[in-house]
Formats: sequence, structure tokens, C-alpha cells
Amino acid sequence: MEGVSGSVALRCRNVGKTFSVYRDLRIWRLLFGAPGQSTGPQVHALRDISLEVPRGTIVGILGRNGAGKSTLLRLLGQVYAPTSGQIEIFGQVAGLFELGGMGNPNLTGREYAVRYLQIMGAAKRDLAELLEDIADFSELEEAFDQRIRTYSSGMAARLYFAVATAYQHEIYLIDELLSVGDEHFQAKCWQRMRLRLLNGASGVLVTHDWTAIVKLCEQACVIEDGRFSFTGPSDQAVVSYLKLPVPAVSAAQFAGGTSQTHVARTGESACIRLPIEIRKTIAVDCSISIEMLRIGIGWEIVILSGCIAVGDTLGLYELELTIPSLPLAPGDYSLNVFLTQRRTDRGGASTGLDCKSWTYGNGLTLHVEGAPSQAAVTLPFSARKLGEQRA
Amino acid sequence: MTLHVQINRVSKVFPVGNTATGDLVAAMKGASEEGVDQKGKVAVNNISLSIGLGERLGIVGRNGAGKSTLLHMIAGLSDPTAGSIHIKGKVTSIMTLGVGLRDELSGRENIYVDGEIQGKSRAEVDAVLEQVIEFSELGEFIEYPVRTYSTGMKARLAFAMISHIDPEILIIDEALSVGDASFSTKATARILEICARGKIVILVSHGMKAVRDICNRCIYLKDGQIVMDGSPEAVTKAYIDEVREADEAALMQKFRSHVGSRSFRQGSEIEGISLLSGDSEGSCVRVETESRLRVQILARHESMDSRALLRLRIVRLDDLLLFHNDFPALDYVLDDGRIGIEIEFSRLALGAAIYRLDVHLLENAQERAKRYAECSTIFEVFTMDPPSGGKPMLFYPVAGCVTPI
Repeated sequence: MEGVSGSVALRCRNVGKTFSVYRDLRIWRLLFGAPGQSTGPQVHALRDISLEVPRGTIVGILGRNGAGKSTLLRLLGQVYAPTSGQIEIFGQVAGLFELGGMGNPNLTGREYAVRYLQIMGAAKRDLAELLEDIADFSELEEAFDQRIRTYSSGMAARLYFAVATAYQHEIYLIDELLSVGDEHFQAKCWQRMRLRLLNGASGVLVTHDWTAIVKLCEQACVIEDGRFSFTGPSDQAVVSYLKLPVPAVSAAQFAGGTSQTHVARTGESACIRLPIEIRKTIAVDCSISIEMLRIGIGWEIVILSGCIAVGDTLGLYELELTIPSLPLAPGDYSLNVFLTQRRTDRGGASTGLDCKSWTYGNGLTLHVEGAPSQAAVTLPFSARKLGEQRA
Repeated sequence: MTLHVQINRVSKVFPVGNTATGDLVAAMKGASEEGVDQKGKVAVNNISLSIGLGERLGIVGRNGAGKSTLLHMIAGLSDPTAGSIHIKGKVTSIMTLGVGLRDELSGRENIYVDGEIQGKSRAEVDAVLEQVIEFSELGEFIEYPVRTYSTGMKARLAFAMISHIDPEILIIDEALSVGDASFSTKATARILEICARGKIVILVSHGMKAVRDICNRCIYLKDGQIVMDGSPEAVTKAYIDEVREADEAALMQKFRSHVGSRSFRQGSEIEGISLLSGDSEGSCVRVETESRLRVQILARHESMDSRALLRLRIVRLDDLLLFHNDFPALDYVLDDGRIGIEIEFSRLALGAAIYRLDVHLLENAQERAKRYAECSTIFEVFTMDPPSGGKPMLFYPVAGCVTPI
């Protein structure tokens, strides 16, 4: 099989899954094996899914509730059998979904870990080391030797994650995984998944959190009503998934001549000029975000501006935005600009008028030049000898 | 009779058993032994509280302070161990989403059943039925049995049902993370709408902003008792101040593995790092973003030469390096021969997160330079007013200037 697979870890061809809905549970029919009468309606949970996961990558699958994400993961994890099509898996699979499925709440954390590792075939001589790693990673401390039923849901989730990722599997099936625990624990989960990836693991990440997809996956699919509606680079998948309504340009817009790329230098005052046309007498605000977008590696908002008043009378304006001593390290950043109608009521949603943003598929670029630096940003500071007054 | 909730000297004690059989035996024996002198965890301790018409009460407190227990008792989901609760009006609670759904019935039938339980006539349910179905976004699934629903679908249906009946006394537990982002925005907007109409609202939240926006009265629970009762502004402020100190201690405890000082050469040592926030002279662990921060470092280095340097690094706990700067040690020698330096960020731009601050005493600036001593500590940057558009890495000013063209 290895010979056939080559560089592919997992492959689906035209996979479909149909569930029959019966008005009442036909328990007798099941017991006596009577031929299934397909009287009830059929739910096509998945239709015609084709997917290929190259070795060493994690493919993202984005979808809303009920789109068929979990069904797909269960098919890949061989919990369900597909109604049609073919699934091929080349390697040992660790399912990070329905975590704790084989757990008995009366086991202690340690007993659960031992059971899991034994089922997964971990070598006996590695056991002690793996257990120590699990105890350490899960931060359960003395609770590791207490019964799982005494755990809070967060503690249980930490245990299950630590156990499932304790050693290198070949293929990971991940469901919303990186929402375990607090921020600090999530950061640890990310680091561990990255480590597993660097060591050549492959996987599928199923989620509705698009930020997880751009951070971990280069390629992603969008699933809608049980079908893939998009397959391609993650950032484009996010655009396709969010389907943010591009506001009908009427009241105000970024005028023609808005440059696609803006250039600035590290440490110098950055200047971004945006031509804006106001076509109705409403109060218009502009806000911007500068984001670091490295698909498959990371995504983060670096700078977020508040609302900046543009005007409330008809006309063509130039908004000049200034960022004093630009703190960004050299590189390309995603620049996103938004026009909104000023809020009058507290807590109400602001009305979008126009935008240029990568999540809409029309973002701008901020190109930062300068000497390379080790830190991601530069923070302005002053230094003096201890005890001396500030200059 | 006007709507009200009257809570008189209410306590709730959860017995702590050791084994399942032990619990059962205790339950059988203890059936006749009423009273609070049972051994166990006291979740709510002798609370008296009166909530009147038009009050929107917020309850704040740390995890385990007894907020949910109190809410459950008001909602009638559990009985107090001692004391009494009098309620005039119908209580609707949003906390156990999907529990009341009947698996074998379709979504549509469930809406009717729930309406009847809430005392609505068929005509009244019919009036809101389409709104409920539309809000739940279930599509064709509304005709299928609830057992075929995913968890998210059940939660959506349950929330849609509750939020469309006219509540008299509405209880909201913050465990309200229904479905994906687009649905939870819709759900939050809906709650605000209900709050505007609802006659009595009781809200438990860790979000101080939600409490201030929604409520007109607030209580602070601690160890099962009310320690403060007043305006949402005053109570949330007192709560934040009080938890800060506890948070700092917890923070240092949790990240103690990141904190410490090491010396690699006799006579070289980083003696201390102090973080001073604002104008205060006391060392702190939590710093508000965009405030002034001073980092004071005191070190000892006996064989001083002109190349020796102090390196300061600020690393976010997910390993993102945010500050990296070298300071020649010779420039900062104090009268007593020690090295003392104060680095000031007059307006700290770091976003809300936990950071590690590393100080290294190095032989020189080269990559493989010898390290004489090192010291690390942890600090947290917080913001009272997080921006709505996301969690930026930096809080940095952007100025705008408009000219007609």
C-alpha cells in the first residue's frame, strides 16, 4: 500500500453519506433483520466529497453548523461507513474528535492514558516517559491520579488532548481541537501540533473557526450542505466561507485611484493616503487594520485603529493616516480599510459602507522596508542609569 | 401582585461522597435528616435577596463563587438545602439549552409542546412559529425528529424557542455559546432585545461590559455570600480591583517555571528585575496597556569589560519575540560598582497577553557569546476596554487628517 500511496496520506473519492430518517424507531425491524423499508425521508449528509491530503500537510475544512463537518470526520475516522465512494487512508490515524470516547469516567487520568497508549500500541518501554509527558503537558498535577468524573470539562479536555497527541501519529483528524482550555493552554496546543507537523504528520482540521485554518493549513475546503463548495488556498477559502456581503456602494466609497500597495519604512512615520468619496449626507468614519498574514503559519492583527471621522458632507476627500515611528518589522502586511456610518446608538451595529479587506477578497498590501530585525515589532523606549532622573 | 423574586436566608450544600455506593447509601439514610449541618461543599451560604419589578440584576464573582448554584435554585432546577425562595411570575431560563427537547418529536412539534408548557395557546404559538423557525435556521430539518439533529442544531432550536416567548422573569447564564460566530452574534442581539422588554432579568457573566450594558443593579458573590450590592459600575469596579491581586499571585504560581535567575560564572548575577506601572514605586505583575511601564534591572558583574552587555527580551508566551535590545553594561555602572538600568516604555504598546521578560548578561553581542547570567520573570498586559474588531498584537496610535480634493 505504501508504494501506491507515495506522497498521499489520505484520499477520498466521490464519498457520500445518506441517513434515513424514520418517524419512529423500528427496533423490531432491526432485531429481526427485516429488509429496510425506505419509507422515511433521506438526509444527504454528504455528497460527492473528493479530497486528497498530501503527506506532511494539514488540510482545513471550514463549514457552519450542520454542514456535514463532523459526519465527514467520522467517515474518515471509520466511525461511519460511507454510503457511496471510497476512502483510502495510508497510515495510523489519531482521531482528535469525540475525545475521551474510550474513557470510563471512573478511571483516573493516569489509567486512561495507559489504556489509550496500550490500545494505540505504544511500546512498553516508552510508557513511563510518555506518561510523564502527559502529566506535565496536561497541567493536571495531583488530579492526574484522581478519577476523571471529578474533573471539570476543561480538565478533561486537557487530559484528552495531551493523551491523544503524546506521541507522533501519522494522520490526525482534528475537530475544533484548538479551542481547549485557556489561552495559555491553547498556545501550547498550537506549538505541539506544529511540532507534530514538522515531524511529518498529516491531517484534516475541521472547524468553523477560520483563523485556525489560516494559521495551520495552506489548503482548505469549504463545506456547505454536505458538498465542497470551494477547494483551494486557505485565504481564498476564508473569503468563500465568510461570504461577507460587499456593501452596495451608495453612501460612501473608496474612490478610484486607491493604490493597491502602500510602502513604509520601519521606525519612520508611515503615511497611508486614501481617497474617499461621500455621496450622501451621513457621518462617515474610517478604520483600518494591519494584519500579519502568513498562510499556513500564522495570522494576527498587529494594529487596529479606532474610528477616524472622515466627514458628513458630499464631496471627494483625501484621508491621510499617520502611524508615528512605524513599529513593524520589514515585510509585507495585509492592509484592510473600512468605511462605516457613525453609530448613533450605544451598542448598535455600525453600518458598513465600503471596505477593502482580504476577508472580502479585495485587500490592500502594506510593504514595509528596512533593516531586518529579530523581534516582530519595535517598541519605542528610553533607557537610563538607575536612580538618574529622566532627561 | 407585581413580579418579584424573594430569597430568604438560602443555603445550598452539596454532599461530598467518596464512592457511588456511598452516595447512594447516604441519600437513602439522609432522606429524613433535613438541615444544613450536613458535611459537604457549601456553594451558597445564607443569602437573602429581593429583586423587584424592572430590575435587571447582574451577578459577578469568580468561578465557584456560587453564581450558577444560586441561579439554578431561582430557576427551580434544584432546591435550597435551607431557607426559602418566593417567586411571583413565570421564570424562563437560558442555561440548559436543548434539555427540554423531546427526541421523537419534530422540531415544529417541539415548538408547540414547549409553547403549551409555557402556557401559551395554540394561536399564540402560531403567531410566532414562523419567526422561531426562521431564527433557528433549521430549514427542512424542522420537520425531522430532534434526535437527528446535531448538538448545534438542538441548541439553535432551543434558543429560538425560549427567546420568542414573552418572558416575565428571565435568567441568563453566560454559558451561552450557541453555534458558530454568525449565530452567536444574532443570539446576543436577541438577548439585548429581550432585556429591553423583560420585566425582571437576572444575568450571570464574566464579561463586565455585558453586565454594565445590560443591568441596572449588580451583586458580587464570594464564597457563597453577597459581599457587595449596588450599581453595576461600582460593583464591577470593586470586583475587578479585588480579583487583580489574587490574579497576580495565581499568575506567578502558574508560570513559576518561567521565573527564575541563574548564574553561570562566579561573581556575575542578575539580582533583580522590577516592573513599575504608572507612577507607582511598587513592583507589579499586571500592567494596563498604553500605560507607562518601567523595567528596573540590578546586576552584579565582577570582571567588567567594555564588551559586556545586558540584553532585554520580551517574548509573548506563544514564543513571539516582541522586543530585543542590547545595552552596554559599562554605561550603566552605579557608584557601588553594580549595574543598574531603568528602561522606560512611556506608553506601552503591547496588546493584552502574558509575556516573559528575559534579561541576559552576555560577554558580547555575537551570536555564540558566552552567557554570564540570566533572569526571567512574567508579566501580564491587560486592557479594560478591548476593541471590538479583534485582539491586536499592539495598541498603537493611528492618526487621521482629512482634506477635500
